[in-house]
Amino acid sequence: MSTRIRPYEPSDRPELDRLYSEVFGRDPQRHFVRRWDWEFGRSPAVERFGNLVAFRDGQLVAHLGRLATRVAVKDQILPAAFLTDFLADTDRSGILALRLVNRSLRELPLALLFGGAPVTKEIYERLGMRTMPIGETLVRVERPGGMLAAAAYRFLRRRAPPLAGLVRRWIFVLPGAFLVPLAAIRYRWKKKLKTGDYKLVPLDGFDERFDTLCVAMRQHCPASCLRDRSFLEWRYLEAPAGPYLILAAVDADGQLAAASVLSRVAIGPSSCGKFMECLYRDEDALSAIINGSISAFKHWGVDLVLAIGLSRAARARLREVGFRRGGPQRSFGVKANLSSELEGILLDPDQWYISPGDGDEDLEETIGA
Amino acid sequence: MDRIRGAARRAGGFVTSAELARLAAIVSAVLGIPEAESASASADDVCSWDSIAHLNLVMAVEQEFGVRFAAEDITELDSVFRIREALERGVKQLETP
Repeated sequence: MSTRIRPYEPSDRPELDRLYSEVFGRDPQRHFVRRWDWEFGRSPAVERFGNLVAFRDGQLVAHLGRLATRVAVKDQILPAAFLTDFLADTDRSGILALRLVNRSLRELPLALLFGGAPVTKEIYERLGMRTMPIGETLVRVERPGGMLAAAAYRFLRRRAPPLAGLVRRWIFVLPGAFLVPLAAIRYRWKKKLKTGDYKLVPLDGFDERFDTLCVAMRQHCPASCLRDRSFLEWRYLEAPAGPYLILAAVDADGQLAAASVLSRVAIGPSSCGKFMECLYRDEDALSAIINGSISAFKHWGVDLVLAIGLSRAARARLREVGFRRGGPQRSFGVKANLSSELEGILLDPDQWYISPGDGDEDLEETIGA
Repeated sequence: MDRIRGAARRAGGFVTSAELARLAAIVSAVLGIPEAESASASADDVCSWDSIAHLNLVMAVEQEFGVRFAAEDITELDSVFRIREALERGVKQLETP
């Protein structure tokens, strides 16, 4: 019996597709192959590390993706990688999957984890990764009937998948109507944050003002995956999953005071809005972009709005306008092979800005994709 | 393979026959194989010895023997022989909370 671990090569593609089909029981073309080159080949990076594959008796039995990213810590930009697409043939991989993770945690200067199954988190933690409570999910219900339909759809998709397709919005119109007064109070529908004067405008792309905003954002959050123009263009304009709405709060001088990237995804017959990014120059502008984003979500008619991660200040503002903790908290893990000063910052949850734009936590297709 | 953190070592430094029996019982329980076969078991030969089972086994051994294997060495403990070697060499006493 022979085993081998080596970097992924393009010729491994057919074997990897087979593994993907076996693990997920679905066609890899739609969910996996479409984003492969974009995700692993074109993400802005200081350094690429290559994915790892493990073979047993010549057969590919495990894979670990290493999505290159740039982590800004204080005034430094560090090469890093999110560990993603952890696939293993449980019948044949033995402990090779564990070895892929172990090797990555030792050889990467900075390894990151965002999301993933609970068992994945356990593996990473035992092998030395530190997980932090910064992937908090906040939710605000906008239309209770649609929210009930979404909940029913999700429940049935887990318990009785064939029945999930039968969920219809109209079934929940009446119970939803009874919940409207309660939801209006609980989720503070009428509450708006006080702000100065900004012009809220949708943008077609990310111009050089976003580089300036990125610098300002780093003052608020000393640790983050770099949100400069090249990252934003790659993540939101070139992504196979788009489209996204880019919303900007512009001051009287035409400067970008804050910006958000918003998405809208389907949950069966319902729709869910999501803050993909929430970047700001100062807290007044943060309030303005939150107000503007909520208005945009209302205009879309989404049933609920989610915010995952973001900065501590953004989460505090969102709570003021009725967002409440809901859903599972995403794991965010760090394994740094760096100086103790930098590690100290990276292991402090309050220093971080993260969002669904990080890693491959949220690559689901948006409505209109 | 195993790292010794701190000065603490297991008394004697060698695994006794009673401890070997305890190890065999753990391996048998975690991997679902007969105790008699556990001494020669390795991740390459036992189908049920996958990544999750490996972590369960490592944690069970740690709990039973009051030791803590260094994170970077866990994947090297890929056979009962190697686990026994690690125990014999002495590993860090499990810190009690």
